[in-house]
Amino acid sequence: MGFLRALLALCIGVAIGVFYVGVIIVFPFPFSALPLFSILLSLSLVMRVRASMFWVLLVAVSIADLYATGAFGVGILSFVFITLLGVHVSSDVITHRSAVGCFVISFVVGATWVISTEVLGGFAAWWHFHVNIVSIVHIILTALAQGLFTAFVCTVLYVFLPHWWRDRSPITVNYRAV
Amino acid sequence: MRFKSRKQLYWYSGFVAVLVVLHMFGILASCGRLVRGLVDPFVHNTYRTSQNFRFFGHTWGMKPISQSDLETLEHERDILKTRVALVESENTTLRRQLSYPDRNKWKIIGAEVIAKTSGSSEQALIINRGLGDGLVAGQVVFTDQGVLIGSVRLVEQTRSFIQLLNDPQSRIGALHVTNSHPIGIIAGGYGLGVQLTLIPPEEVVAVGDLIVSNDVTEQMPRGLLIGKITSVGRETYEPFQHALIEPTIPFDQVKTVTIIISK
Repeated sequence: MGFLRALLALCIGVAIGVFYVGVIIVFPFPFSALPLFSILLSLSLVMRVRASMFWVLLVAVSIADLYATGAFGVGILSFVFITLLGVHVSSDVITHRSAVGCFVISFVVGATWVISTEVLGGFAAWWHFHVNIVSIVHIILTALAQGLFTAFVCTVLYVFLPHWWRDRSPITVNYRAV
Repeated sequence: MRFKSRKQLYWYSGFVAVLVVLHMFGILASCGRLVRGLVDPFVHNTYRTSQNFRFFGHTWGMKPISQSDLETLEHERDILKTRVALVESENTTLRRQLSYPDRNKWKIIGAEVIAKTSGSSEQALIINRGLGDGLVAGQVVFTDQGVLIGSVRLVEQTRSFIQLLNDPQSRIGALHVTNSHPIGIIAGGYGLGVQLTLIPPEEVVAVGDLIVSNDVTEQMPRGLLIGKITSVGRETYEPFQHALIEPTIPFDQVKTVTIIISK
């Protein structure tokens, strides 16, 4: 049973990675800049999902990393760094169910993801090609934009959408009628 | 996320960090190739499907060409083909008379695009040719219509990365088609476009002018089509003009490419 679950998790991780490389990247800007991993990681953190989700996302990030120019490991290291940070922040500091809490966690994850991937990617480019591609202005603007977008999507998906559904679900309506 | 203990989480991250370091020093290269060999067909098929889907989206709702328009276009094409054949023939005769050295005796190789890179700030395509096919970094890549798309940036055993013209690190010398003057440097703009910089102030450039490659480097041939100018500008405090270039073909629609192995 454990083996089947691991196999299923592996398949889901590979499917997410292939979807990112084969579909999202192909679309023109701004669709190609969809922060898929930031959103999935933020949702995993605020929903406090099982640790197996960590492995699923790690497999997906690894697959995406295989298709980056000589920068294998950038996504993985960023992912681990943010998970370590996120587990601490989401466990101890912020109440997840509030819109503000979800927004803050998702914003931090989205922005940190950009900063860490850009900085590590810059290091990889310097390591492999001896060029400096790090632009502070680009990193700040991208981190702000992707942080806000991630926060918006996660807050809608995790807080507003469940609230909206709860208000309209047959169970709630029946309960109020009673 | 719920880990059983903080210690377990640290073990996970330590294990991953060791894997990454081993990979960076090439110790896990064969494992990476194995995984890529398994995943490549899926990525390639998904990439091709997305390309077709985008192409379908572009053409959706477009007015179909009428039969009379088609016949007119075919007639114009035949006239142009005849004219090109005559000019080529005349050119060959004149070259022979002048004992001019033959041009374009390039050794080339074709390749198929298998994916686009996933890095956020890089614009590159991945092709199915590598070290074994004679590719080295710096070689020039174009499509079969003679349109320049970039150069080889990184070569692995069975695949290579092509740095596109819109990559922020891309720099290529350009020529004005009209007067064959060196006109500036083509530079990428974070995947959002291609710009022509360092245009001399006395150079007359206009919207719609065609731009081709300049042979300022050893591997770059002269005359590969880059695109056309869509806007020209110059601030009062700037010594040079600058322009935006619309590439002749959208880079993400490229399915096959040609690499110049040697000139």
